[in-house]
Amino acid sequence: MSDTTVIPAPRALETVDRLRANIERTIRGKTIAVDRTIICLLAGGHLLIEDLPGLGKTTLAYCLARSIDCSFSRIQFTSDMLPSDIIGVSIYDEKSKDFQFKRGPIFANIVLADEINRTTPKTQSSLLEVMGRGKLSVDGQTYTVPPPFMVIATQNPVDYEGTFPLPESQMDRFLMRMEMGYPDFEYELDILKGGHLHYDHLEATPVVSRKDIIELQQYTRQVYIEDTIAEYMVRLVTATRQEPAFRSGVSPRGTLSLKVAAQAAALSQGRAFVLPTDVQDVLQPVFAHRLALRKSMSDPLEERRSIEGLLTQLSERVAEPV
Amino acid sequence: MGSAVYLFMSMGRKQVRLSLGELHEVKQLMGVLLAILSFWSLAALDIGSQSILLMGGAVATVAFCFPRWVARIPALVWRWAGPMILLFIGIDFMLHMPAFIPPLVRMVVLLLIYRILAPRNLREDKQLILLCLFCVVISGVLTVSLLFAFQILIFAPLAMALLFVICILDRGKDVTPCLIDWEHFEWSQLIRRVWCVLDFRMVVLCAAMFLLVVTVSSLLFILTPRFDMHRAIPFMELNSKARSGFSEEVALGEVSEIQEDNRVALRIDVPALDAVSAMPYWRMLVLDEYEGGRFRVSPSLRTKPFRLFQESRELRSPVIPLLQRSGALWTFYMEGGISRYLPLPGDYVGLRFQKFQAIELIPDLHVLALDSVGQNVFSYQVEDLQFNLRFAASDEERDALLEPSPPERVDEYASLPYPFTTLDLNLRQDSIEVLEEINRNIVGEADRDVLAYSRAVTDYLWEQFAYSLRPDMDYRFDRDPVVSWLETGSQGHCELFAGAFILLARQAGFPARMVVGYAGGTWNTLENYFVVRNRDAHAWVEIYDAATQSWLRVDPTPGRGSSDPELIVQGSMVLESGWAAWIDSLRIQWYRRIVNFEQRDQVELALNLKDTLRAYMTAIKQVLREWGAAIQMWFTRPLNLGSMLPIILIIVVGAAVYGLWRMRDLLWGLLFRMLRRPFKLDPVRRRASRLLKLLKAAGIQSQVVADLEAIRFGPEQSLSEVKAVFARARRALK
Repeated sequence: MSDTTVIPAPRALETVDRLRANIERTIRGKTIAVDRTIICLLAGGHLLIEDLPGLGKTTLAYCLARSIDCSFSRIQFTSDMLPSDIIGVSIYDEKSKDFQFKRGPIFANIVLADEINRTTPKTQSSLLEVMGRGKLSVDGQTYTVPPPFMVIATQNPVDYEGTFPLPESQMDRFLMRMEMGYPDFEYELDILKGGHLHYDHLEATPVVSRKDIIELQQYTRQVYIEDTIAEYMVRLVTATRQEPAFRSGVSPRGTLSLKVAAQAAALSQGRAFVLPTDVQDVLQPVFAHRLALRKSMSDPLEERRSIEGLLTQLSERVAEPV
Repeated sequence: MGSAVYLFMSMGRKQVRLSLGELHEVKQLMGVLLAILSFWSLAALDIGSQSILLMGGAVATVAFCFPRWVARIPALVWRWAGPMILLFIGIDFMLHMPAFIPPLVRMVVLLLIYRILAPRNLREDKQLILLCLFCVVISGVLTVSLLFAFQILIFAPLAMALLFVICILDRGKDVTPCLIDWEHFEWSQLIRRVWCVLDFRMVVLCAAMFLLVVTVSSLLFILTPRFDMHRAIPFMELNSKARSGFSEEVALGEVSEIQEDNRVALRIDVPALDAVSAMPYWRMLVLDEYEGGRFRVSPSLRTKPFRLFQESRELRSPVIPLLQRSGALWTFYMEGGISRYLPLPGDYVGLRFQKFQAIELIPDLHVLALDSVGQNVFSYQVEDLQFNLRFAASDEERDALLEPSPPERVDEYASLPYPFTTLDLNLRQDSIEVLEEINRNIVGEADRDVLAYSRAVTDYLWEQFAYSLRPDMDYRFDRDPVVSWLETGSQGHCELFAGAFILLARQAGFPARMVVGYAGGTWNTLENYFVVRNRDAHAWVEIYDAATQSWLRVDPTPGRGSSDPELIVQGSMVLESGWAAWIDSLRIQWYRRIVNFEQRDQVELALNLKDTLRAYMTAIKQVLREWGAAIQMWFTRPLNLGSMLPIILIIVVGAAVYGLWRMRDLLWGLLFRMLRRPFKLDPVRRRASRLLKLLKAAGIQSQVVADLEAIRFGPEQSLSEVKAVFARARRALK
């Protein structure tokens, strides 16, 4: 445990605060959404934002990329998209008489996969492979995506016409799922006055270097987890498996995700150890999309509320370490 | 793996709260439960609208078990249901104009059904509680049954809990109705959640509140002045019909019909077990006239000269000589809906009612009737009750019955005046001939002694006929049923035996009349009272004995003693002591203590209380004085080891306990290490955990909390730092 003492927790807090403040200059009044995005970034996971169009999903992703001085690319998914549209394609070069790999939009630090459920499962799975491994192979050649690598996927939960919903196994690849929600009255007024319609017009300056982020991601893995906290997490997972209203419980990958998310949450608060509240904070976004009701509902929004309600009850039921 | 397994020292349960939706669900279901309770209480009222009550109960039960079905009713229904119900209520009231309690109850039931099915806001919930309270109270006031006590005991906590939930949900202006998702409602889920919420403190608090309410209402019951409700609110009286076997006109078989019912009809608090005759006959009414298979009270007996109408609280009767009086009190509790005639086995010195009571007295028959058949239990007290075998005949009877045959009828349809009706056969000639022949066969011409005659007839009947509730006879249209039973039957019930005896006796020239009431009964050993059930209903005969100028009881039904009317067989009494008897004894407690509670008891209770308190005060003073003397003694006595030893021992034990308490951390740590519990927590973390709990409970938010959290959940730290943090935490706590 001695190596954990080297975590410069105050410095991490300062870095995160800077990042947070910078993003919140543009994304007003969405503290929770911003926090979760940062936690996801620190944990090195991918984020699924499920909400209606126009609520600032793209802006959030763009702001994040700008703030940490990273490359950003946006893929708008459509039903006729092919895997090569994402990954890239090998083109025969007349001069060198050889195939040259033209890198696709996936080779960026922050990738915004807009409306991911609009494309075919084939294309979706090509994206998800990269997300899982952090590298990809084309024509026998392996390419590594540059760290930090984070996919922010969005989907519209209401408009399901002509979509290919992500199967549960693929939902599992996302560390977190969250929603943006409508802005509060005064923030919307601010937005109206500040008014940029397109994110290209935003003037977000880099406040954190890429190196810092990679470093923070390494620290995250070392955040200390006391035994009773670990036990608490396992009990939470067990409770999801025993809850009769769920079709199935959370997988061990989910448990690991909860762990790393809790660590990231602790670090983003400037702590080198995990508190029970960290676990509770990330419980909803980490678990909600990994669970499904035994009696599925017709309205997905309704179903999501119901699952979240059950999770809240579950966390109330499981005794927390004090 | 239940979550309880994990609850060990370092863990605390979070305060679980029900969500808004769940609270609404609880509220909805509790409202339905209240409605079920009130339907149940209304079912005790005998007002002839059982079908609507049954419907209400069924609807409420369905709404309780499957709330999602109710939620599927379209909203349009509710827009139309209100006016329809109003219309129905209006018509119902118009049609049943003078009687208004039955339509009132029907109205309440309909409104309740509407309220439990239609969506409710907080205001409607309060209406529901009020409606239910009305139901429970109205049925309690009208029936005064023990069930009411039980129902109000369930009602009070339920209504209180519902009001509590309503108070929680009441958020002032914000009255947007909460839409509950009944489609995904599951009982198991809700029960589990509510179970989580119920913690020990809450249960204790609720129980305390409930006890407080019960105590206050008991006090109110004892202290409020008594008043006669039926006088104060005359329309609040529900009359019910008497059983046809105990009314002024009884057809053959109607008394036997009552025997099919096993319910209790009469409970009697007696001065002593051996005061009850071995075979008591509880006379209720006397039927003197016979016509075509029906015995009835003759029209002359229903009118003034025989019937004394009066209103009084107490009746005195000079029949019993002073020497035989002992002042023993008998208390009768007659169930409602039986008859307006009061069961009395014989003469008495005094008879007291609970309140001024309109009564009809028929002294010739020794029969007493109320003005109407009450629906709830009626109690009266009798002083020096006798079990008469003979009833003295009045002067009019004596004079009229000197002649052995009745006067001729003026015309065929007019009935005779009273004492003559006991001789009147009112049969066709061929029937009379049949009776004549039987009489001739049994006794011949010479015998004129009442006792010998009745013994002979009884023996004849017992020889020829067997007892059965299902009589057999060739029923012929043109024949009198009793006569045709005498001719062709072989078995019959008590009325046929009594009827046959009466007809034979009248034919032979002996005046005879039929008496209906109860015979026998059982003894409840748990509360020591006498129980008469409807299955004890019976009919027997009184025959006029000219020698002693009295009416002699004769029971011609087989299986009830000897054929000699004067020979009382000493039978054994049936004792009841089972589970059912226990339930019944609860009921008599209720009658004795609650229903019969009147002003006299109130004063008595107050006086008792005063005496008891005074006795306690003197006792306490005495004890205090003794203690004072003992302490004084102890101080004045010279010191010695023997007397100091207990005190020294107490001091030592106290010090030991205190020391152990101070060192409890160390000892726990030792024990912990020795036992090696599976989920171990090292003492430093445990200490931090305890301090954290205290700080959080005290609501302190400072750097200390963060430091403690670092010790509790963070990596291990050096001991000196830890101690410094602990010291700061203790300071913060102070």
